[in-house]
Amino acid sequence: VGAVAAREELFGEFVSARSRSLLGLAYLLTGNRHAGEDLVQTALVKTYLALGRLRSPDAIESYVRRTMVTTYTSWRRRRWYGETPVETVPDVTDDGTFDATDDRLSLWPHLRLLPPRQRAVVVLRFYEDLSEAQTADLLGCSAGTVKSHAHRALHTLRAVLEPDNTREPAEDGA
Amino acid sequence: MTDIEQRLATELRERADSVDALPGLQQRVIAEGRRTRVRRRAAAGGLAAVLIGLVVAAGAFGQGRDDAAPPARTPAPSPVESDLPADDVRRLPKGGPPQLTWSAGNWVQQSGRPGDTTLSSSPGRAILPAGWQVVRIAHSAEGLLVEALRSDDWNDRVIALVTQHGTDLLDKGSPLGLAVDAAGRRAAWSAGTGVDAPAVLRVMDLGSRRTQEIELSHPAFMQGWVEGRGPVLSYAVTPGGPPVVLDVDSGELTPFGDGNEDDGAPVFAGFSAATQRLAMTDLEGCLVLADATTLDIESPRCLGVGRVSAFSPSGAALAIESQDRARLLIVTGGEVVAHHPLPRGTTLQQVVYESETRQLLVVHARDGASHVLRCLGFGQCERVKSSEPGTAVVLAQGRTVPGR
Repeated sequence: VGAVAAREELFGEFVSARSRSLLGLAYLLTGNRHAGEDLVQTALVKTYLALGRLRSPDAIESYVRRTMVTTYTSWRRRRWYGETPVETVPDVTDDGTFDATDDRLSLWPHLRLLPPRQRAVVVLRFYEDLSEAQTADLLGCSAGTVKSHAHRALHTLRAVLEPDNTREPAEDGA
Repeated sequence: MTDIEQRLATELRERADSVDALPGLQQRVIAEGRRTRVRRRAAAGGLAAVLIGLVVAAGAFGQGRDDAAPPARTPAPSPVESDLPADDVRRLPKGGPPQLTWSAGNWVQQSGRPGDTTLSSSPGRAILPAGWQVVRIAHSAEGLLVEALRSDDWNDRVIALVTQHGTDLLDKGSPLGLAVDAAGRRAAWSAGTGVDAPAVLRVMDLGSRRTQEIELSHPAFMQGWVEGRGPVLSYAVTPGGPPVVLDVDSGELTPFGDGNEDDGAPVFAGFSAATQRLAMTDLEGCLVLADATTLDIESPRCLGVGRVSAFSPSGAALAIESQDRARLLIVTGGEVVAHHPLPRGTTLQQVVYESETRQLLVVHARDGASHVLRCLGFGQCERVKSSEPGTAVVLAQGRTVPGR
């Protein structure tokens, strides 16, 4: 009983210290604050159940982050992400012109278009600052696959943001 | 690092920094972790029992029918009371048994048989007197406040404080509606409310049981509590009239707009205790939001609103039923972000949020029976397996009540 209580205390301290950072990662992965909250909670519950095997805060952090990434990609496989589109948008008086302008200059809305693993690679590489090898380890794939995902994601984003530049070679050739 | 990589890193960092910490996450996670562990153990025990049963049955089959052992029973997973979340404001455990009402963020399903309604509330469990049917539940610092019918007579209603120690009758006759302030120390309800009867508003200090009575000129229906002022009422000849806020200390009633529904004033549609925001609808199907503390009305959004059901726990989302068909729209900041089409032939009765993205809907089917749907994410709804069609269902949106 004492060991369980000690583990729970350690876990509680971890959650209270790291929840904001975890939520930030979850938000970037899911692109949605509420789905991010669900992802964090789900990953933390899974981690809680594995506490007996995790001896240090570092081990807990690593386990939570890995669980978040794998849970996120598995959710996406199960179409959990089919949430943003609205079938019929009723008459809305506020057209949100200013937001739309901001969005055109932002990468954020375009990140949502990326396939889940590409998005995960982008977040892990450019937000978490993980190396290709570390990202590959977290995603359970090879470093070459990570490189390829990152390349495709950046190409997609570049194409959306700078359509003229990305079309240049083809146009020159034509 | 290329330019686009640099932009990505900067923007991702800014986005992540904009996210606030989740209040109460630590307790929620540990509580849900414990529950999951209990469920897994129970399920593992059940599987083992089934396997043993199969082995025994197979052996018995070999020996002949007369020697067959009785089939092993699978123990049903049950929650442990100490695992009930003490301050789970925004989430319910996933897949929790719906027969229970939780201490916060909760609902209760009555069996339909009179006399055995049980309310479970951390840290205890209360059993209502025989024959009572729960109409409404509210949390207070003293215990659960319950509005209930004592018999089939609609006018035989009571307001009672229910704890594990017993049931304390606070009012009887025809009290209607319940609102409790954020501290859980003062409650208000109306009495004498009928289609053509004016109301008396009773405000009770739950600690001292001192009651203040205010006479009203119209029937009034309690809708919530505006902090720093008092209860907010829909106040008109018919339920769902224009909202008015009662200032408890001065006894003054402040209407929104001119307060006259006949003149097209927006009528009450919903109240969020979290954001202290009022939702109203007008004759043109527009949704009018207002800050209940300052009485400032925000610009209307014309969404073709049929009926407004409930704000989400944080008050960020508002569920409304649209007019074209029975569907639940989730509106955040005036924008429709998701919708749940309801099964054909059903109408929406109630909605309660398990989290910002999970809702429980009670729908009325064509046959008149009530069903409970759980919608996971957006647009993925399934019937709650353990809900019994046709039974009365009472949903209570949870909130934190500071302890004594």
